[in-house]
Amino acid sequence: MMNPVTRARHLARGVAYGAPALLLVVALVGVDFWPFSAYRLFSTVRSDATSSQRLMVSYGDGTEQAVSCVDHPVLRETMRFVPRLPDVDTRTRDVMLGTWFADCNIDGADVVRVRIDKVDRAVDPVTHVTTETALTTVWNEVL
Amino acid sequence: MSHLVRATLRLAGWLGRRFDAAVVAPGRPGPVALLRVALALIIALRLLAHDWSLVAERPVELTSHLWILGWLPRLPPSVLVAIQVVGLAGVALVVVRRAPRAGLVLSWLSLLVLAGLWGASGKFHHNDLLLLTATFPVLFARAPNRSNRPAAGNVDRAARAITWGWTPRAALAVVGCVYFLTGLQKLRHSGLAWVFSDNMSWVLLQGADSSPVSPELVRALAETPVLPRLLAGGALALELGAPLLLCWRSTRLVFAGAVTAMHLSIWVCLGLDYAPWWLTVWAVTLATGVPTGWAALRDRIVLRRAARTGPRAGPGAGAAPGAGPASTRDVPVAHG
Repeated sequence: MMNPVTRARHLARGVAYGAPALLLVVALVGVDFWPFSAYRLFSTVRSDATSSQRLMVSYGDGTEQAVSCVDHPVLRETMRFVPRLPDVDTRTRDVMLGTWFADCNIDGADVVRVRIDKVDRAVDPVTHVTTETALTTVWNEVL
Repeated sequence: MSHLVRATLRLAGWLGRRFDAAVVAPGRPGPVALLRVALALIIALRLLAHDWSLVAERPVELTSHLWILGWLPRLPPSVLVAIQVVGLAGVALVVVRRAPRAGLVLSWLSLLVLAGLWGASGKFHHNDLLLLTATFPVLFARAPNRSNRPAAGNVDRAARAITWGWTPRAALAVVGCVYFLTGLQKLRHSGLAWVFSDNMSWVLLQGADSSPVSPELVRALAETPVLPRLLAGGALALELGAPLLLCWRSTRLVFAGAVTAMHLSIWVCLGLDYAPWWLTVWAVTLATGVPTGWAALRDRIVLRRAARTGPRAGPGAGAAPGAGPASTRDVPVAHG
């Protein structure tokens, strides 16, 4: 049986060297797998241009509305799954859209079409006003 | 050449042995208890920061499989609240010092699960990550019990003392490593352009509307010619220098103060709350010892007073009046 002091030293070395080594490996590999992270916090260089994807719905009367859930602190963050919509099956898509519609008070029965727009924006360095510089439809689906 | 290589290897070996001896050197239970309570209280703040039952309203289809919990079926609100209550009960155990080790494990697991579930909404949350990572080594720290009494075996007491020594040091190493990695990733993905380009100006301009203080102030800061680069350079230097700054007691408080200023400025400018990070840094910093600089300053004051009042008045009895303070190395005071 191992001496408790020796065992304590082994544990000390295992954790004290192992934990930082593991953090380093995970960061270099670039994995974000909770509770491990690559710690890429603000690591890219920003410029005046930004780009994002926006979910839009069209109603039967021709009007359109952006789907932007802002009230629910958890569901608000799920809007990051919008780019996945083109790749998921119909059942999953209906659940995703139904969840967002409910939080945004959109009646899904009135919606005839959904689409995803890629929106490029730029901030004016003088006026600080953000303007849309380009709009590209990346997915368009009739419901 | 081979002589130089041998000398380098000998030096590296000697440094490695010194470092290893410092890692496994025995410690006292007091700092570990302080660290455990401080970390538990920060965990309590985080457990109380959210209505975790809201996670139950997120369907499985909108859940990221960030880790094994992402594959679980939808948890009902009652289970989420139960996990929160168990975590807070664990904090209470730590604070009242009844089964503190088990209490910290409970509270840590509770926050690990809840924060992981909350963050499985598509955006990886870093807010609680430093707290959880730095607390991990402290989970191994054994609480003082009967075996610390004289009747207990010397071997077991020695083993416990080793645990009390390395756990806060490992927490300190983890903190230094995490900050270093955040700086390293900036260099890796952006290089020095992260500092010397207009990067920080755009960060400030694009995030100004989220400022809880004054978006106008943030925009004004972004427009200054030098300040954004100074902020970026300071942040990067601080992150990359974290392991060194945390290595010595005399610079640990400087590091804690600097990261607090950095995170508070991020909150003021961008509205991002990283309070768990700087609170964790303070907890680990204070638990790993009051810097010798403070003690040395105190000793100098005592010596100066002694020099003024006469040779038999204090610990600086040998110092001649007007000769200035004696070296702190001459002062027989134990520091932590």
